[in-house]
Amino acid sequence: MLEINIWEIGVHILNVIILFIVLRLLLYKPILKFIKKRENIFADKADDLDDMEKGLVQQKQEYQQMMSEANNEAASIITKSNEMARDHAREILDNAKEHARDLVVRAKKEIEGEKVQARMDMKSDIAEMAIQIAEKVLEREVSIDDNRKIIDEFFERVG
Amino acid sequence: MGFAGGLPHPLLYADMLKSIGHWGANVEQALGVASINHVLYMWLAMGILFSLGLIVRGRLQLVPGGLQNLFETIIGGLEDFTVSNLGQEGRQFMPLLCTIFMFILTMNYIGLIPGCDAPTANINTPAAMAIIVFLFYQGVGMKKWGFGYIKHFMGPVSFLAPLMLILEPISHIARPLSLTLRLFGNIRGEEIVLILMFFLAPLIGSLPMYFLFVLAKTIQAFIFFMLTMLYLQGSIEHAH
Repeated sequence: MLEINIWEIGVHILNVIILFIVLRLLLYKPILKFIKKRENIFADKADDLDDMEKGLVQQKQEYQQMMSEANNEAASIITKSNEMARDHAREILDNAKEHARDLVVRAKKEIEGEKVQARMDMKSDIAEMAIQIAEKVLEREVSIDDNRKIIDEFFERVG
Repeated sequence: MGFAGGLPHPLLYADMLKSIGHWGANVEQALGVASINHVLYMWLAMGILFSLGLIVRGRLQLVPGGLQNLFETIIGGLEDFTVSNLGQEGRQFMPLLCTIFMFILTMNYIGLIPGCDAPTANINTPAAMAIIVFLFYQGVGMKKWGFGYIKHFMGPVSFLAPLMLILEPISHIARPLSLTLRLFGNIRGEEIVLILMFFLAPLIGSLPMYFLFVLAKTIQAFIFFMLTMLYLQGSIEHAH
């Protein structure tokens, strides 16, 4: 149809205007509003995610710091424990040495005592033996005074 | 009744309706139009858009489904395209531009439905749309620049202004004419080819044409939309 009809054009213009108004209210506004709303929701979620990411990074740093502090503390405890153990070992060793020294001294003293005792016993035995010998030689009983005299003379000779 | 370049259309639902009820002639008389066919198909296009709009509006979801996705892509994409070309000022024109695109697209596609005639294959439909575009962008320019809008008709060089004042109005008047004839010619041509192919080889001949014309009809709708946007851009930008 090539004939121009003003009335038809008028009807079409009216149709287009009606369509424009209805679609504007029915379609464009709700859809654009919805798209905007969705963008806002996504923007909010993106912000939340950013905040969460920042929080996680901060938490990670805190944990790393805590781990570093714990490592340092553990190292310090180990060093301190090693030192304490070394001191304790040294103390035990010193005590053992001292105890050994005491034992040696005590043993020496005991040996000395035993020596003195043995000398005294020997002295007594020798004296007794000397008296018996003297009694055999003299064929008489030796008195205590004689006995003492003989012993003393013997020891003077013996040294 | 002759449609596609005088060729008889094999089947038109609008004619069937008229022959059944004899109401078409009364409506034609009441509206003062020569043929009600393309008006009916135009109303059909409007009805389709209203129905789809209602369905989409009623089922808006945060994660869009098929139809919502399609409309969001078209509306959101056209808005972004308009804003990228016209700036933020262009956002206000998006509803009209989007209406023009979707309406022309739907009317063009109606021509592909067997038994339907594309309303845009009637010269009065593209003419009506071109007149709307012409009046709208001139109105926008006048509203924005007031009397200064006349500078848009004076050309870039001042000494050529008297000559441009004659040429520019002719160029502006030619715009709705070119918009009308381009859309009408293309769609009418496609209708003729489709009917010819249908007569020659009903299925083998016309089916491949459908795929080609889906693309061609989309391109025509987009060209009309693009030119409208460019005319609007010319009216809102500074005159040299």
